[in-house]
Amino acid sequence: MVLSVIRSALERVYERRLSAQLEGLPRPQHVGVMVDGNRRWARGAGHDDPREGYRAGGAKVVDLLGWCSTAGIAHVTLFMLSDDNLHRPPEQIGPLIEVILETVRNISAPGLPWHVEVIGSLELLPHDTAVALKEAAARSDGRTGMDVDVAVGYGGRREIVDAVKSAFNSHMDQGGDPADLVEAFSEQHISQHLYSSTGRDQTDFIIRTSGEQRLSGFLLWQSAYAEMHFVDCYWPAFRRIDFLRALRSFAGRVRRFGR
Amino acid sequence: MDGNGRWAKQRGLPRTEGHRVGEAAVLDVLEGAIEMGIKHISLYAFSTENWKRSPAEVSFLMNFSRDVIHRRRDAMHAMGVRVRWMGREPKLWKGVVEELKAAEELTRGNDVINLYMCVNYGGRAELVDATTALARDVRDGRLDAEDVSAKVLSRYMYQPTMPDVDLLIRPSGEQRTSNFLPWQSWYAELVFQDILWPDFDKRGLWRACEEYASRDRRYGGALPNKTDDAPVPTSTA
Repeated sequence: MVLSVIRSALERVYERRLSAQLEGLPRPQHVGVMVDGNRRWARGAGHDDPREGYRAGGAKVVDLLGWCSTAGIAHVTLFMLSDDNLHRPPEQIGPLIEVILETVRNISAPGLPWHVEVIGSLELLPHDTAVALKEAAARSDGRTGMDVDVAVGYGGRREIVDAVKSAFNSHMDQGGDPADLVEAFSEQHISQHLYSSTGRDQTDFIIRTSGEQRLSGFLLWQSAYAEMHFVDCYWPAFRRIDFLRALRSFAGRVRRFGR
Repeated sequence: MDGNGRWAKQRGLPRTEGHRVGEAAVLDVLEGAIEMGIKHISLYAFSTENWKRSPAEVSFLMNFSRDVIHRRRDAMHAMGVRVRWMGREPKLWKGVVEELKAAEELTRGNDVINLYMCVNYGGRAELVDATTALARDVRDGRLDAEDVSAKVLSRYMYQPTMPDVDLLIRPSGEQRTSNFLPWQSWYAELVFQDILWPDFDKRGLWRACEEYASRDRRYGGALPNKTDDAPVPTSTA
């Protein structure tokens, strides 16, 4: 007990020092976070029910967004459920989706400044869930604070395919000639038809917890030049200190974009 | 292949000297890949963004790429390497294109390992080019736009028979993928190494393969893989 009090006091001091160090250093505009390891955290913490992990992970998302806001980040994309995750058995997916819905409701609650959007193939989810997710996020419409995209049923390859189709369709709907697409199809066509309405087609920084070092299709188009940061801890154990260290790592990167 | 410029700078040499020393690493890594039984390896030689470098460095790199392909062609052929080029033709110097095509032609019948030379390559550019080719088929009535899927789009990539990347190695201490094979390496294990490319050799590749073997690849599922043998990546980049 005494030890944990001392520990948390020390952590606060360290946090303040880290924040101070970051003053004036470059920071990412758009951060993608892969919140990985909820189930493993629950097992490690001795919970028989993996739902404890999802809940703790959901609560951590709310913390994270607060930290990001304070750090002056403009846009956060959270990878909460991939299209491939939907192949997991329903008894596993159901509780996870419940927590995602609850989290989306929490972060778009009245009084909060963030503009929340759910991105991904919502048609892969049960219809009621998809509607509930959209309704929850819609409460934040018109808010001008940090943009928060919650990726649910999301796949990066699928997003590109959907962007291509949507670019084709909008061209044809405007009475365009298909031959023009052959002549003039460009990166902008894909960039302008991504899921997010923010129009940001570039992710600066990707953070992934739980020690995995792969992208798993996350923001496949947007992350072409993203800096990556991998953290060993499971998502529910991710602390503000870990977040600030990630930002410190980003600030030290030399980004050349091919130069 | 990254870090040639910095390697040279650390030694007070011109950047071009780093590129020159990097040439030997390519052959050594190819040998190491063959010894391991890797069937596909992609090398990022020149990106669509590298044109932003100084005109002097760009022209050095163009001449150098042309010469390297020319001088190493027979050695690679003897090793059973099948050379395949991935990238954009416009802007690329004619001599480079000719050498790449000659190497492809010469090594067409080889099957020990496929070497994908990414020259004037960009992942976004590849996706744009794939979509353009696909749009041509839509225009000509060979494909319905509604049928476009990831599987269909994959068929329009520069090298449609290249399998997805299992292991992506980035030397030079950077932790980013810099527009290299984003479509193909969507589930690749990423291994970042602190070594600059001119110091890289087959041992770097093997270390990365060891690391790869210890990774737990789940493809979105929650259950860990159980394998008795250490997995060897099929496709490395």
